[in-house]
Amino acid sequence: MKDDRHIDAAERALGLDPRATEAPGDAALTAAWDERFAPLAGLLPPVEPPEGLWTRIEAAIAPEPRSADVLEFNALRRRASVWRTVAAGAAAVAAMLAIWVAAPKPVPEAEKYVAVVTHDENGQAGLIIEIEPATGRATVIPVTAPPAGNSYEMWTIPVGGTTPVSLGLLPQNAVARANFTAAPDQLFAISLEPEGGSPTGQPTQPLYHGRVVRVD
Amino acid sequence: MDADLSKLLANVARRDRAAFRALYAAQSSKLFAVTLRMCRDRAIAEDALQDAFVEIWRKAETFDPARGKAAAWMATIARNRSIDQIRRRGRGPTFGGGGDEGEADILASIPDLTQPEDGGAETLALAQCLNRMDDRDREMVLLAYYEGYSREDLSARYDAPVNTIKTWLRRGLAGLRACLEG
Repeated sequence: MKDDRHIDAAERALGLDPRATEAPGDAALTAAWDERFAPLAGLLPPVEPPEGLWTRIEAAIAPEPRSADVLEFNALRRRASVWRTVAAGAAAVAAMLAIWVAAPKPVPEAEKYVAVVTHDENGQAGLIIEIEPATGRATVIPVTAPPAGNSYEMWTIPVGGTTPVSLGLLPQNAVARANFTAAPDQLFAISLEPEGGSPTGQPTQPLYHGRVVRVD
Repeated sequence: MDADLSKLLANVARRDRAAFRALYAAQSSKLFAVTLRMCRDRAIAEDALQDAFVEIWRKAETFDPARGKAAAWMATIARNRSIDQIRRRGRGPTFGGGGDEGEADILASIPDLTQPEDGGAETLALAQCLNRMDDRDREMVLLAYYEGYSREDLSARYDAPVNTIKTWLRRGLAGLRACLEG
């Protein structure tokens, strides 16, 4: 009978029975079989996953900003000042940013969200998106124009989703406006695409991503 | 090698994103081989791999190097998330020898256990004991492990009732355990 528990565990380890309902004391037996079988996995020839998968994973584990909005906002301001230095040449852009930085407390009552999209966690801003849910208006401020022959394409991953949805190409000039809505935690990303947009319907070369936070 | 992975996992448990990135670089192609084999469809296999890495990120702190190898811990997660995906969404068209592959090729493409290339001690011991099993019982274990076959899938493949499959498998697994512990 004691033996049976080991064989039950082997069946769970193989996936023939669910693990979710196993008795707590049996989990160690299943884990022992996981360990015994694991060398089999190592015998498979490796297969490279597609480029974009890391971006999706990184997006899925992005920190939840809700509980630390204020802190997050200070971080946004720091990044924004870095960004401003970089973009000093682009007067129109700098002006837009100046307004945003100088007025961290926007019109009372009106909800406002900001996404600063970056290369990575601590990287400099590549783009700032301001969203006013009340009007469904977003202001997108790219740092630099895309290389000749390329376009920036904007994407979102809705909260709870995993697949990027295109929001369309960004105009070549510095400031763009588009109408769409955003929810807290929603992810935005920018990719570099051949002129005219992604040929596949999915980001070709993801550049920046960031999550929407609320600014109070 | 596995000590390196353990170290990376320990850093991932401390929310070190650079370590997580390094862990992905080190293991993603090995784990994608696992999920691709189970799911038989690239899109589903990618989702399973994503689920696996998100779980690795979240549960890194529960990994205990005293209880097992890091690579085994990660492979188990990749298999479990693949099983979730295929039980929920079904499998790609090449499952069970559909599509261009003949059914015989499914087994032919399973790594050769008589000459494991990656010859760690555990691999050799496992290969030796698997090779001592009846051919049919070994095949069933490998199809379940690599291809995610359920008892129903095996029942269809071997044209035998599910209860018979269960009996065969349990007898085979008992022999495997005795060999591995012997």
